[in-house]
Amino acid sequence: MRFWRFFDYITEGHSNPIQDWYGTVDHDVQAAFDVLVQELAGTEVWNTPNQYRLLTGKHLGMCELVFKVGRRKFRALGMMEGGKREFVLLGGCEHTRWYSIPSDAFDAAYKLKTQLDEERGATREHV
Amino acid sequence: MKKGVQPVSTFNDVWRKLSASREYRAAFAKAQFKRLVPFQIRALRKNRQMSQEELAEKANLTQGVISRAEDSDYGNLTTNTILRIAEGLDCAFVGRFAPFSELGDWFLNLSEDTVQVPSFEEEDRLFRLGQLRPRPKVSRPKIRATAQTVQVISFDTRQAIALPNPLRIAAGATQLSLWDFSKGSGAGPQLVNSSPRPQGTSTLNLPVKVAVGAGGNYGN
Repeated sequence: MRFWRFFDYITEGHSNPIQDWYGTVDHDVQAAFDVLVQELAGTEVWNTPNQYRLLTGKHLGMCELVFKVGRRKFRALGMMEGGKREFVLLGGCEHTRWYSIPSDAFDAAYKLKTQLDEERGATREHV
Repeated sequence: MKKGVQPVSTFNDVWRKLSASREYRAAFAKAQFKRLVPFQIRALRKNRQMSQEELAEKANLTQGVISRAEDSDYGNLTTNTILRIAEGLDCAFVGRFAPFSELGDWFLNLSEDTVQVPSFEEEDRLFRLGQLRPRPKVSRPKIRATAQTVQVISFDTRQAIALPNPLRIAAGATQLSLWDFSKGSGAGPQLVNSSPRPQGTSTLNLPVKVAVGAGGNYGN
């Protein structure tokens, strides 16, 4: 049984930020991300902080999915609609305490969240 | 917010990624193992309404080991620990080699429900009631093909469908995957060929014992 649905955010300019990021990372990161999404889709109650974290501060309202590949840490950024059990993916990055790759990943994702809140752009089921 | 109507992942979507490179395939198998063994341990423990401490006691491990075993990012789960956890859950852990088609199928159907495994005690109760029987030997569907018709098994629904032969390809189909259901030793159908739809092709002559796989990419 699928508990959650995942969506890609499509900007007004028809770009797909999560797929754009996916295309830039190595196969092992792609595979880990694919399995993570499928795992969470099949998990009724997500576990925090191991699987996801709600962001605070200037990124309040966003959520990050957490995964590791070897020693490297990655984040998939998005918006969670817990009531509907939907997650809209806005971007991704490699993340350490000191830096992110790409460096503006969180701010860029937050900008997309704002656009989504304003009902600009669209969403498409994540494949 | 506008929501486009798009299909969720199908076997074809997964297969397309697996076909893209050997490196991705290897990484996919590794990621499945590393993430989904912990996923299954969590799901089985929750379903048995056991705490980590209770499972630890039954498995002769510490709660800390169970906690790490359930953490997909921990990454150092040993076979010995998995086997002890299986003992604590009173079920078997079977590590075996499998074809990617089986892995893809399992991946698509993954959920806390589908990974459930009964304990021996539950199975034994059924056995004493005369309700536990050995699983029937899986017989591969036989594909009956004639010059006019071919019977195929939908990969999505597992239902047999009779289609005319030659097959008329659905208008939206972009990929054609041929599966032979007559081969395999319990490991699932064998992928014979997967290729983009030839341009300008509207029909496909199916050889005997070959079926068209999944994703609704067949016409009638």
